[in-house]
Formats: sequence, C-alpha cells, structure tokens
Amino acid sequence: MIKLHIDGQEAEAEEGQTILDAAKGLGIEIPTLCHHRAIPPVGACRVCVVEIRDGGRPGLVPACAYPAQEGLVVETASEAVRESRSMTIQLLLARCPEAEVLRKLAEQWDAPPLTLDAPLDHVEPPKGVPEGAGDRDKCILCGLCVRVCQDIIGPAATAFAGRGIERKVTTPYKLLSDVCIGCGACALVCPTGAIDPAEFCSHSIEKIPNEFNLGFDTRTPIHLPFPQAVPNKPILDRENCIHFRTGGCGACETICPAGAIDLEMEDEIVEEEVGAIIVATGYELLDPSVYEEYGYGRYPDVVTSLEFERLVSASGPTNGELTRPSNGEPPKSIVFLQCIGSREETGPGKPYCSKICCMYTAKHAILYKHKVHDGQAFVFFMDVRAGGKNYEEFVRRVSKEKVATYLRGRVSKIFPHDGKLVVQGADTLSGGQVEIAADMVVLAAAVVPSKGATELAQKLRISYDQHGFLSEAHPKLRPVETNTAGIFLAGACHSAKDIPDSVAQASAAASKALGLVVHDRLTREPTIGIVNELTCNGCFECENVCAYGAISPKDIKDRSGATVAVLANINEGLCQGCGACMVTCRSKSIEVQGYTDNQLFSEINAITR
Amino acid sequence: MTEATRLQTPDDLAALRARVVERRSAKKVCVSICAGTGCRAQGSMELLAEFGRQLESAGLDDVELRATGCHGFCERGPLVVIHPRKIFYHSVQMKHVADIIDKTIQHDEVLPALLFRDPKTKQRCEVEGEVPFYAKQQRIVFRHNGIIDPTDIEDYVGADGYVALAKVLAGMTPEQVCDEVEASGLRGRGGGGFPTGKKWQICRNQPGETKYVICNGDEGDPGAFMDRSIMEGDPHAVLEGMTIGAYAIGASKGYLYVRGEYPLAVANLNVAIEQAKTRGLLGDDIFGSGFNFTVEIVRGAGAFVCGEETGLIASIEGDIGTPRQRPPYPAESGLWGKPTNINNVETWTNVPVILERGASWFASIGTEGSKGTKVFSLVGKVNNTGLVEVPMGATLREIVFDIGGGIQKKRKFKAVQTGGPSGGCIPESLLDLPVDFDKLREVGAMMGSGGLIVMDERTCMVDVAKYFLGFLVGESCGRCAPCREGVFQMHRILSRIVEGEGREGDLETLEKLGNYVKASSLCQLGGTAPNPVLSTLRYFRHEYEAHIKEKKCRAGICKELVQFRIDPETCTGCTLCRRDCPTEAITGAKKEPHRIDAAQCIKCGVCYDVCNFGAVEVE
Ligand SMILES: Cc1cc2nc3c(=O)[nH]c(=O)nc-3n(C[C@H](O)[C@H](O)[C@H](O)COP(=O)(O)OP(=O)(O)OC[C@H]3O[C@@H](n4cnc5c(N)ncnc54)[C@H](O)[C@@H]3O)c2cc1C
Ligand SMILES: Cc1cc2nc3c(=O)[nH]c(=O)nc-3n(C[C@H](O)[C@H](O)[C@H](O)COP(=O)(O)O)c2cc1C
Ligand code: FES
Repeated sequence: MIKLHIDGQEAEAEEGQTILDAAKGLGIEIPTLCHHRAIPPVGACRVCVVEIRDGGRPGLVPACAYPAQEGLVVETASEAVRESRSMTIQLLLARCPEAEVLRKLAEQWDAPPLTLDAPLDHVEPPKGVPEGAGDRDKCILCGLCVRVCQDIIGPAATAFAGRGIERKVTTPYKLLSDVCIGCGACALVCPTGAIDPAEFCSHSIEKIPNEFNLGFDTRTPIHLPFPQAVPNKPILDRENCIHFRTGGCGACETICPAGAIDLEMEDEIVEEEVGAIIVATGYELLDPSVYEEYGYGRYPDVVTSLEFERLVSASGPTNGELTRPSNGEPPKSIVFLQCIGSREETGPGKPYCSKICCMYTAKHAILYKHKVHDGQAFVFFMDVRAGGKNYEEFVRRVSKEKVATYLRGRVSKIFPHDGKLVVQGADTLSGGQVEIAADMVVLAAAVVPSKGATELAQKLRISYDQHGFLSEAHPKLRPVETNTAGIFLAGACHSAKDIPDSVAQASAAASKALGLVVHDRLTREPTIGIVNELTCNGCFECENVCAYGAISPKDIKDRSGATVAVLANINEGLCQGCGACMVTCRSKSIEVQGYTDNQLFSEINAITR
Repeated sequence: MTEATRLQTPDDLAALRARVVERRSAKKVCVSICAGTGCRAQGSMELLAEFGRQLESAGLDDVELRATGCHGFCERGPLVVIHPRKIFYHSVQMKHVADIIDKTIQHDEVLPALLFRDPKTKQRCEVEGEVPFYAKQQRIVFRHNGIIDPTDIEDYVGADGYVALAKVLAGMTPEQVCDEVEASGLRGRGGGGFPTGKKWQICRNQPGETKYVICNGDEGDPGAFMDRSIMEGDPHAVLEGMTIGAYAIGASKGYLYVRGEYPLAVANLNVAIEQAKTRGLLGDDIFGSGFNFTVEIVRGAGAFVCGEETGLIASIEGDIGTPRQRPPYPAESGLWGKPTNINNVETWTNVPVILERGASWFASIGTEGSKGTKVFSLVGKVNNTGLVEVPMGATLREIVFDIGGGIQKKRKFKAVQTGGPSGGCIPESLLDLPVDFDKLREVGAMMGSGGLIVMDERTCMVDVAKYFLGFLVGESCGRCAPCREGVFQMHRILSRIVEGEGREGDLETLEKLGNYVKASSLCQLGGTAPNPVLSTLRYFRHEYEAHIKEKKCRAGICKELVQFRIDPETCTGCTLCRRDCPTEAITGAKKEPHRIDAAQCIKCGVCYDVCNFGAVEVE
C-alpha cells in the first residue's frame, strides 16, 4: 500500500493507481474531462490538475495521469489549482461555448467567460457526410473517442490529424470509415456529446427503437427495460449487440467498473416447483390501423392513447414535454376519439366496452391542458360510462370546467391539410357536422387480451372466453380463481379494468394463493380419481381428457430399479374429481373415490336389502 | 585506408593509431576543405573537385586532400586550411584554386587577400586561432570538427578516437563509468540540463534485461545547427559516446533519431556505423569484452515537438510524435516500455573526452553548476555568425562582442534571445551575465539547445515575441489544452497589439495566461512557450505599453503603428519610390521632393526599402 496525503488527509493507493484514484478513495472529487476509468489516462485536458506540495517535484500535475507515490503531499483545491483549473475551463469554453459540461464546470469553478477569441474554424466533416451531423463545435479534443476506439475496441477508426490549434479528430484522409463497427463507444465516452459515429461510419448504423417508449426514441443494446423495472438493472439485447453480431467490440466488459458484464454467459431456463400460480398478463390495445379513416400509421400526429401516455410522461422520450411527433412543436389543438374498436357489434372491433377509456381520456384532457395552457381539447364519445367511486364527478368537472369540449358522436374521416389534421365528425347533440383542424389526434383503442394469452391458458389448462380473456371459476362466488386448482387471476388479463379494480383483484388472488401455501397440509377435494395399477395398461387416454392436467405418467420399477411399466398417475392436489378419466378408461382402471363401483354396488345392496 | 581488420583488443587500436599518425605526419602538405552543409552550399564540393584536378595535373600527388566537417564559421565559407602551416583561407572561390596551388602549396607563400582581416586591428590573421571569432572559443565538443575527415574512421582513430571506449571496456565497471560521468558534472545539452551521470544511474538501476539508449538528433530549434555539424563532422564521437553510455546502463541497442532535414548527417553516420562495425567497434563482443552494441538510425519526420523525449520515443515506435505525461520517465519506461536513456548529440559527444581525460579535468572547466563547454549558434545582427563553443560561464558580452564582433552596421545592441523559440530575451543590462544553465533560467531565459539570436535597436520586442509564439502555435502538438489553447490565445493578443488593436488589460491577461501555460502544460514545450512573452514583458514592458497606449512602434517594425514620411530636404526627386509604390500614394515631380498621401499609404515599406538617399523616414 502506498501512503500519501491529500488535502491534509491520509490516503491509500495501490501500485499503479493515480492521485485521482487515491482522492476518490477519500471521497474527494476532482473534475475530469479527458479521463475515463476504463481507458489509460493521458492527462490532456488538465482540468484535473492538483498541486504537489511535497514528496515530489512541486507543481501542478494532472491527477488522472500522475501515479500515487509514497509520501506525496497533494492539494486538490489550492489557490494555484483553482486558478489553473478556472483558466483551463475558460480556454476550453472559448473553443466550445456550447458545451454543457464546460458551462457547468465554469459555474462550479468560478471561470468567468474570458474576453478571448475562439478559434474561427472548427473541424471539417469527413467527405460525403452531410453538414450538421454531430456537433463538432463541441469537441474539446480530449481524445477519449480516439483512445477508446484504438485501445479498447480496436478498429482505430478515428485519429487525430493536424498539430496544435489545428488538431482535429477525423478519419484517415477524412473518408468515411470502413473499419468503424458502429459500436458507438466514442459517443459514449465523449464528455461533450460532440461525436456521432453515424458521421463517419461507411455503413449505416441502425438505431434500435426503444420499445418502452413505443419507438418514439432509441436505445442502446444494453438498456434498462423501463424506468421502474424490477430488478432495476440493465439488460443486454443480444440481437442488436455488436459483439454478438460481429464478434468485435466487447467494450462493456472492459468499461464496467463492477466487472458485472460477462459476455460468455448463456440464457438459462429456471425450473421451480410451486404451489400456486397467479396469472396477471394484462392487456394490449387493438391496433387502430385497421380503421383506414383515422389514418393511424399514415399520419404521425395520429397516436394511440398509450402513445399519448408516453409523450406526456416525465420519463418519456421528450422528458414530459408534449410535442407533435411530426415536427416537435407543441400541439395547439388536440382531438380525443373514444371507443375506437370498442362496443362494436360488427367489423374488426370488439363488442364489449373497454371500460377504462372514458376515465383516462378525461385524465388525458387534463394532462394536455397542463402541458399546453392555451391549447384546445375536444373529445368525441358515444356514452360516458363513469361508473365508479367519484368517477362521474371527475368527468363532469372536465367537461364543465371547459378542460375539453365533449362532442357526442363519431368521427368519419381524418385527413391532413396545411400542416394540420382535419377531423370530420358528427355532433349528434346539436345535430350537425363538425370539422376540427387539429395538431394531434388521440385514439382510445379497445382493450384486447395480450398476445399469447390463449396459449398460456392452454398450457395452464385454464379456460378463456371468445375474446381470449381468461375465465374465472364462478362470476360471483369464485371471481379470482380459475377452474384449475391453485391458479388465480388478477388484472386486465381477465377483462378490461382499471388500476383500482386490478389491484383489488390482485390482492384477492394473493390472499387466496397464500391461503393455500401457509398450511403444512393441503386440503383437497375428497372425491378424486385413483388408478388401479394392476389393470392400467398405460394407454394414457385419460391424460388427454383431463382438463386440469392432473394425470401424468409414472414409472413402475422392480427391485433392481429397472422400469417394468409406465402407468397413469393422478396428482391429488390437482384432481377435481370430475370423472372424465373414469369414463374414458377402457380397462376400467380409474375410479373416483367415494364413487367406486364397489361403493356404488354396496349402496345399492344396502338399499335393496 | 588500410585493410579493414577487426580491432580485437585495445592494443590493436593503439597499433592502428600509431600507423595512422605516422602516415599522416609523413605528409608534408594537406589541403583541408570544409565539407559541412554551410560550405557545401557555397560550393565547397566543386572546390574540392577542382583542387583534385589541378593537383593531379600539376603532378602533386603527395598533397593530401581532405574533406572535413563544419568549422562553425559558415558565414565565411567555403573555408580551406593548408597544412602543415594551417593557413586559414575563407570565402575561397574556384578562381583562387590555381593561385593557392601555385603560391601557397608550391612556394609556401600566403595569399593575404584570402586571409581574415580583423576589422578592429585591421590585421590579417594567418591561422584559425588568430581570428577573433575563434580566439575566445574552447573546442571540446568540436575537437575534431573541421580537422578530421568524418567519413574515414582512421582519421578519428588517429585523433585518439575510441581510446575512451577501449579504456572503459578494458578496465571500468558500468558503475564506475556512471560515477565518472556524474563526477564530471556533465549536464544534458538538449536543454533540460539534467545531470547525465545521474540519469544513467537511474536507468541502470531499473530492473529488466532489455534497455535502450537513444541519441536525440532532432534539433528542431530553428537556427540551431550544432548537433547537425557534430553528426556530420564527427559521427564516430557520437557513436563512441553512445557505446560507452550503453555499456554503463546495460543496453545493447541504440537508436539515433536524426532530423529528417539532415541528409548529410544521416549519410555520414551511416558510413561511420558501417566502418565501426567492420572494425568490431560496434556489434558483438567489442574489444573482446563480451559487450555487444548495435545502433540504428531513425529519421525524424520534421516536427519540433518530436525532439521532446517522450514525443521522440512515440515517433520511433511509429506513432504520432506526441509527448506524454511523465512520470514514468523514459529512464523507467521508455522505448517499447523498456528503461531508456536518451541524451542529446552534444551530450554524447562530451562523453568520450570525459572518460579519456578524466572527470576532474572536465569539472575544472565551466562554472559552479555547469561544467564543460557549450556550443552556441550565434546568429542575428552580429558581424560574425556561426557556431561558437565557449566554456560555461563566458559572458554574453564576450560572445556577442568579442567572438561575434559586435553589432552589424554599427547599430545599437538591444537584446539577445537564447534557448530557441521558447527561450527568453535578455537586455543590455545583463550583458555581463555569465552564461550557464542556472543563470539563464534565473533571468527568465534558458539554455535550450544553444541558440543565440542577437537583436539590434531596429528590432521590435513585441514583434519578436509574436514571431516566436507564432512558431510555437504551429508546433504545439495540441494534446494538452493549456499549450494548444493558451499559446494560441496569447498569440492572438500579441497579433492585436502589433496591429494597433491592443487594449487596456492585455498585458495582465498575457501574464496570467503565460504563467498558467507554463505551470499547467503537459510537456516542456508548453512549459517554456510563454518565455518569449514573459521575458520581453519583464525587460521591455515599455515597448508593449507604447504599442497599446500610444499606438507607436519605436523600432519602426509594426507597420500598422508606423507612419512613413519623406523628408523634403533629403529627397532628390529620383522618382524611384513613386514608381514602386503599389498604391500610387506617392506624388511629386521629377527632381522635386516627393510626398506620401497618408490616406492611400498601406505602409508596405517599399519606399523605405528602395530609397537610396535615406529620405524616407518612419515614425
Ligand atoms: C391509455 C391508458 C391510460 C390509462 N390510465 C389509467 C388511469 O389513469 N388509471 C387507472 O386506474 N387505469 C388506467 N389505465 C388502465 C391500466 O393500464 C390497467 O388497468 C392496468 O395496466 C392493468 O394492470 P395489469 O397488471 O392487469 O396489466 P398490465 O399493466 O398490462 O401488465 C401485465 C404485465 O404482464 C406482462 N406479461 C404478459 N404476458 C406475460 C407472460 N406470458 N409472462 C410474463 N409476463 C407477461 C406484461 O408484459 C405486463 O408487464 C389506462 C389504460 C390505458 C390504455
Ligand atoms: C519541445 C521540446 C523540444 C525538444 N527538442 C530537442 C531537440 O531537438 N534535441 C534535443 O536533444 N533535445 C530536445 N529536447 C529535450 C529532450 O526532451 C530531452 O530532454 C533531451 O533530449 C535529453 O537529453 P540530454 O539530457 O542530453 O539533454 C526538447 C524538449 C522539448 C520540450
Ligand atoms: S482529466 Fe486529467 S487531464 Fe483531463
């Protein structure tokens, strides 16, 4: 262990560590720009300078690149350090006045704008690259991009050209780079956001749409699925990962300070034996592009209600700023259409009411006014169904307080005109036609079961209705159970419902499941099937007919352990005693306890005696 | 040359030397012609051929013809010395050849017209030593330059070459060599002045088998050419020094990094390396000692900053020559990450003499902290320019006035700039400063590689500072922010000042920036770059102030601050200026005084330059 003094405190460092590392160990923060923990330091930007007072040659040295040495006495914020740091920031700001990091540092380190003249000409783009790609004016020449590509990733697609003030980051001969693998490590390490590999990569770099934001922005292959994901850890999307596609890159492994990334790792299937299952697979929205007249999919400013949720969300693609997808401007007028695909007897829609749309549309109108104070909102509705505690009051407030204008009627056509969307519809209350020039249209599409819900139901052997919503065992008496023992339902997988209803059902399902597993012993139906192993010949017709998946094969072994027969076996916990197996069994080897032939005959005998 | 046999022992070397000395002294007459780059440019190679032809036709085959390295007095080239009397002729031309052969060689008559005439005493100087330019010099580094033929190893051996190497390999341990060099007080001549022996020790004490020695022959300072002259004129001394150094630190491979613009140095070094290999003085088992050493030449690609040691190493490794943060120093981790000792050409050249004549002899020369001599390239507004070697501690006055012969055109001395582009300007009041590493640093200048530029009263110090900074703006590698951005901004401010756009507060900003760049830069390019500005601000602040406040350039250099005027008394009306003026700003009839229309004048200065009567004045 190397011992040194930093700002009067005793610090420790290991061989090979720098002053910066040692300071970090003490919790002393030193600003850096050209330093990245995964890339060998060069000490180029000089914002990290510290003063060596004793134990070495006195003077200013870059903390990031200066080795921690025994007995050094270091000051990280002395007068000399502050002066130098402030001047460095001022000079870099003179070069890149737009760079955010520098502005922040300038505030922090008291670097008033110098009355200096910034260099006039900045880096020329590589040949063949459209002007305006990337933000070269923000390049502070720290060299991280060049170094990460050369030292960590390997292709060395970029390099420095020119000397002194003429120095610039570019590709060889300023041509588009064939060796760039488009990994984006350069953009990742760039402290000012000056570089974009799309500028100089000779092949196009496809951006990955961010699923959670419904494709309104992009994400990297390693990403957090959504802000409140549990566990809150990033995941690696192999399909889009450069390493898995080309065998190159692998930068994440080197860069991750915790060493948490292991690219050798394989997906694995985990098997658990459980006593209860709660199905809560939720719902999706009907794809409204089936309705040509609304132009969904053709006009970017026609969005679904779920997309609208993302666009106004603080964690969404625009950080909560509501803008038109087509041009990024705030929508000055907006039209909400309810019942898109709901309550439809014929056509591609659903006959049922989606139940949640009336309420969330009222909420959307409020959110909209919150973001666009002078905006105008309209709602086309069939009926407002606000059954629920305080629901009616909520909707009435929205229409009364003129948050939105409610129009009873359907929309027949939407078409673009002069940068706007013209919404044509009927107002059945006034009996006339209306035409609204809107900036945005929001479609409250019908709630439908999530994809794969029926396959799941088949796998679990639970029943579902004609739309694919999962069925409860009894609508009044057993609303959270399924017909299969131990399997429960919660939320919108069962039927369209809002959060309060979902939570209520989920709580009930949870307590039902707990009721099963808290006991040492399981209470089961007394009347279940039993197999007569002497006569069963292992045809497994019974397995096919069992609606509850209670029958499975069982090996019969002799003393030496060799399998001599495979016979049907009934899981006592699952069997509901319905008797389907009994009537199917050709060798009459299954009987239902309490109703065996012998018992029935005895009963008859007793009666007729 | 005799058959090139391997010299297997020190005795073989002694025997060869004896043969050479005997053969040489037997020659009665020798015509020694300078074949340094300066004299070549003035036709010395043609002269050499002409001598050859005429000597042959005169049947004088016992006259030896020798092409030597640079004498340092290039300004007066081509230089010819006739042995054994060592008659020193300068500015010799083709037409003089016949006369020299006829009179001097055949009849031992001196040709006074070709001798140097001391402008002070009006005396003709017959031998080099009498010429004031040489009289005050002490030539240790230049001990062979201008005397031996650099392409003939026997010449070098005859002049006691490789004696030191033989001595070291035959009877000294590496530690003893390091100690001896340390005791001599030799400090690096590349500019930093780090004690050479100590540097060797550090490198020697590093763990690891593989180590390297490097000779820094990049010599990027504009105007400096002492290293080139040594490499061209005495290549074996450099090789011998490196071999001794390699033995001392435990290296078996050396690199000679030679500036790309020095083709003759590369040629002569290559010849020397080949000859040394043939003689067994490079290669395996040198002098039967078991010590192996080879040298490779690497040609630089022409950036000033490649002279900086870490930049140079990057350049050898095939990277862009960009300096890196030290530590680790090259002695710990240098070329290919191995301990590497890097020294300047002049430093290496000092090594053989130190080991031959002893540390105490060397330490007796020079000052308290700086031992030995230093070669300066004396240029600028002095009468005699060229390479001068003086003991450390010689005063600037001695160098400028005694050796340099004072200021040209009887003008007034103003300043001397030392240390290359990032050196400092020293004013007249410090002319008696003894020149050594520490004294120069004290006054805000530096030794650098030994450039000395003399400036007269017609030099504007602001313009000078701007000029040097301009060079450094172009040569900064651009890696670290202080040097790249700071020097650039300083240069911009200076440009404004000389254009008459100087503002209140500019000088303070310059000082602030200057101190910042010095303290915060990654390498010593930035660490010294502000010197020209800071030193002129220190000694010539009034000139800056005149530029900013009065908008005046007293030296008459900064065009924007100067008014041209024709003195009607002196003007003869010759019309020359009127005809040459590009903007037709000058009017006046023939034989009548002319005048300049200030509104049209663009201050190009053509009138001033062309006037034969001194009638154009600047103010
Ligand atoms: C535009 C809009 C606005 C709304 N606003 C409100 C509101 O303001 N207030 C309100 O109360 N309600 C609102 N709702 C209704 C609310 O979204 C639902 O009530 C609620 O999401 C239902 O919750 P859930 O858990 O049942 O289903 P979901 O939220 O759909 O969650 C189901 C989860 O199961 C996952 N899943 C699906 N299949 C599988 C599988 N096979 N294996 C593992 N996981 C699977 C899904 O990925 C999903 O994460 C709104 C709905 C919409 C469309
Ligand atoms: C910008 C810069 C340029 C340099 N140029 C040279 C050079 O041309 N020749 C040289 O010998 N040393 C040069 N040096 C000094 C070298 O870095 C190094 O100190 C020297 O070669 C070490 O040798 P020495 O100990 O013999 O002086 C330069 C240094 C800097 C900072
Ligand atoms: S972060 Fe240390 S020099 Fe840039």
